[in-house]
Amino acid sequence: MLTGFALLQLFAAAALVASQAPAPKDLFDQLFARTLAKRQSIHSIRARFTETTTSSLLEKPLVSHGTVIATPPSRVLMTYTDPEHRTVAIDSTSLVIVWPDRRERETIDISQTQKRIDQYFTQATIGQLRSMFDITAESDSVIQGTDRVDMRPRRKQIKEGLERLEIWIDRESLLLVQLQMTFPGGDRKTIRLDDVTVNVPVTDEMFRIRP
Amino acid sequence: MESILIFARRHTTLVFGIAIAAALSGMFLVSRISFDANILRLLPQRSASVRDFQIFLRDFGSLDHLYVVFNSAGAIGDHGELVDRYVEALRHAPEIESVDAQLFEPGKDWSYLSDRELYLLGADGAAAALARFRAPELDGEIAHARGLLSMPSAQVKALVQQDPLGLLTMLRDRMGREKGFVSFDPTQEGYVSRDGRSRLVVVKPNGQPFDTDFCKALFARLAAVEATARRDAAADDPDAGAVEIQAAGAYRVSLEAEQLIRREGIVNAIGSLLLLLLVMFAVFRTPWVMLYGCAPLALAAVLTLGINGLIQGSLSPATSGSAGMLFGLGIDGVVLLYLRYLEERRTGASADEAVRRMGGTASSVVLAQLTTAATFFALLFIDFPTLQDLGSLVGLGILLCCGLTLLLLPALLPRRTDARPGRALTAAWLGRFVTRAAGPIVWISAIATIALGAASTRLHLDTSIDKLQAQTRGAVLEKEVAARFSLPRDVLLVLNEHEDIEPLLEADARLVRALAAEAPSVVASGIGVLLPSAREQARVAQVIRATGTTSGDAQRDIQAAAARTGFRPDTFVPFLERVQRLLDPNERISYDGLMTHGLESIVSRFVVRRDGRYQAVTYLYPQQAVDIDALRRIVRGVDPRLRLTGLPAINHELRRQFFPQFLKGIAIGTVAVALLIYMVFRTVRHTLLALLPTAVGFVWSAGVLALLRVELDLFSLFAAVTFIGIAVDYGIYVLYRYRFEPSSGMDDVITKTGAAIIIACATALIGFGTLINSSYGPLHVFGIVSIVTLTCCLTASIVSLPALVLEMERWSRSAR
Repeated sequence: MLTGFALLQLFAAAALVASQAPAPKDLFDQLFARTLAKRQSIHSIRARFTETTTSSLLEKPLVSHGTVIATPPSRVLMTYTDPEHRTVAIDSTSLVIVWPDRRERETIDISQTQKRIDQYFTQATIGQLRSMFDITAESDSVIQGTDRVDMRPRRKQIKEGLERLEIWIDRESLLLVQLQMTFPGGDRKTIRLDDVTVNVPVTDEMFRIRP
Repeated sequence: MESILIFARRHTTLVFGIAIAAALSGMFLVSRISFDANILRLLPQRSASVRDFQIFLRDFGSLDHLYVVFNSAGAIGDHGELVDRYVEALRHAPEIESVDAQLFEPGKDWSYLSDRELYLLGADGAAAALARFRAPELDGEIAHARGLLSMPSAQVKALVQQDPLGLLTMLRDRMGREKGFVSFDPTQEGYVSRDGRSRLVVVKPNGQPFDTDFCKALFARLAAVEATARRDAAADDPDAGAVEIQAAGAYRVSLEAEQLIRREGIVNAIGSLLLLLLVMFAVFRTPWVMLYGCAPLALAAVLTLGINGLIQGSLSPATSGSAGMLFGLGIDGVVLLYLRYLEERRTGASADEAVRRMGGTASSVVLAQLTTAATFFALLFIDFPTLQDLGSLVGLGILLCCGLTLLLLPALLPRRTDARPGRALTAAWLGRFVTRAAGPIVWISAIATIALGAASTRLHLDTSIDKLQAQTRGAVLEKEVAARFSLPRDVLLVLNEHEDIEPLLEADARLVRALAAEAPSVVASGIGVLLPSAREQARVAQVIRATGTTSGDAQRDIQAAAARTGFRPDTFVPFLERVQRLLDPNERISYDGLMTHGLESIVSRFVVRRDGRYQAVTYLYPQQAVDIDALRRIVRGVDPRLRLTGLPAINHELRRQFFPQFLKGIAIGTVAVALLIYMVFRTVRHTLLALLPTAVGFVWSAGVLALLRVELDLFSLFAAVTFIGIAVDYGIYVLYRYRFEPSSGMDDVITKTGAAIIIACATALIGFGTLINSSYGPLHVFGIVSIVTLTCCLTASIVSLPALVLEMERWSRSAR
């Protein structure tokens, strides 16, 4: 979930450093560079999402639906509508999960996690990303009109939490279409975004979760 | 006195032989001295709170722990490789008994507690938990567990398998209210600070913190371990080099303080001796005076240090300043006797005759040194170990110095009759001033006493024990670590002990309930969080029996709910295997069970077993200012055997005991000095007159210190008691000569003794003044206090006292 939003941030942030990068060599470098202008123009994103979790503990994948609203640099609100109603709110310091039906609320300090996301993704240069991941990018044949970036961590510490990360970028809009995380042990999580709308009006009230 | 001086003059070889033997013995004893900066030695020993705090430090181990802290500019979690390698190497080090790197590590069998978690939830919590084993709550919990899997992590997956009914979450919520597990970020591996930048590893070495050789070996080992860990981790973590690794705790403080005491002791001794000898040379203009001064002082310093070390075993930080003080005081005798020698020589007396005529001055020197030593020995009656060390060191040193001066000086003085008599020192200007302006001096002195006395009411005193700790880098780091990880340092502690553990558990439960009712701002954390009393566990067992939930039924229902929710059949096997133990009303949590399952490092924060008895501590965390006396009443009300302690309680007790102790010190010092003076002067009038300049000087000093905004600590304040003996000497020198030796009046007395007294005071100021450079806070403040107080007392003695004597004689004549 955090990583998912980090990737939304990643391509926006990557564009910033791309302006200083040498001439593009491969598809990933090109994608990295092209997102520069896009990052400046995106102030918010709203989309419907379909989250599919494949776990070795479940007979069938767990499919959840909901909506996501995000604004830079780190505010995200994910509202799950089924199968269990749940709201997840993220900012630069905390992760709040609310299960309204159970009247439960969990708050986790994620300031360090966010800093790591900044370090590994948002603020990383192409060189730094390539030093931390083996990265390939290619045109995807399954989701039409997208390029797929495949990132495999090199560092043992990252590998222990994430085995592989794939992201699908719309070739025209440069927006994230889908991401898939593969975890050690084979579990997978896929988030597919639909009806992506950029620069929707957002207010602080929209991100506030009532007790 | 004359006979001693003549004996020493005639038996030079014997005197030098004694001196050489004394020097050799002293050096042998000094070579065996060890220094001890243990904070326990700084605390008053007869205080109940202190004794209990010592028991806490001894039994609950914060004294003999080494805290290794890994600091990173970013997230320390990114450098797990370095920490793991360091910890692994440390575990194999011969100086290390155990390493506690994280709550969940091999060797700690937490399943012992998780299998009995219903007993930790209490009767009400257990009833709520048992409801989750049955429909409809069962299906809701299993569905919720499935939802958790959408948060992908190995930990969440394991949690779902181990705890599909959310019992651990219930337990976590209950334990989250406890602070006994110190302040860590529970989402990270290991004991990581809330800001995520530091990780703590608690190490228990197998040697004592105050064994200097062991400490040196330990830190050499830590350096080697660090080098190896950094080298091995570099391949996986190129940024590991930026991680700072520091060690805090008693071992480091002890080693640093020991080095500090030695270094400062040597610098202070040599520095003050050199300064004093240079002053002597500048005043008397003969290099021989440096030998006259150096010989008795150095010998006395070595002997007294060696003898005290032999008697006490080890010495405290206060001793680092003792040599300077001893030199500053001890040289007075040399100065006064040598000045008298010069005075007699200038009258035409031979060297031997001049030595004989020094007898009168020798008597006043002995009296003065006895009064000084008496006030230092008075410190032995104050319940303050550092002051006792200082008192015995300087007191004994002054006596030795006095004896050695009386023996060595006559033996060292020139034997040739044609030797130049040297430079005589007088203060004719002072004599003229005092006699001519006696009236105004008395009035100005009285006004100054009233004004500065009023100012002295603003004198600031900090009675906290923290002020007495040697401030080494390690001590500062220890405070930082304690604050960062909320280690039990400034918390209040309630101690209890019994041969059986049950009364301790019962008392802990009653205390927690009493505090919740009567002092809700105080959060209590005791052993009950891990080990409820037998009575409480029996109540839970009754709840389990009452629900009638069997393990077979529960296992079947959970599997059915899991299948309905879409889980694979074997998903909850780890939990199902625990169900039988979980629902067994005959299971219990016991002290022995916790210990045999590797949880000693956790349990020992609350309960330890020593010599067949159990010692328990409950930590109290006041969330706002708390009335210690009221808290003590609540604690006693729960059980009279419970004892409240901790640094806040000790500071509270010190504040309360401060005035009785201070008055005791002043009274003992004053009575001892007054008796000695009376024995010489034989009149109450002269005894009071001799004491008066000291009393006036104290008032002036308190006022000046208040105006200078100097903050006193307990050490510097109590040590000021010694100034009674030091300052009263100046008055004695004036009065003794005025009363017992023929002169042409006060003008002549001040002319002849004034310079000697000023030099005596100047040497004392040099000796004490060097303490200002001490990095040991109390000695630094004591240096400032001594300069101000001695200067005030000197002025009162050689200006105000003679003026008052003259005015009293004038008043007496007028009355007749």
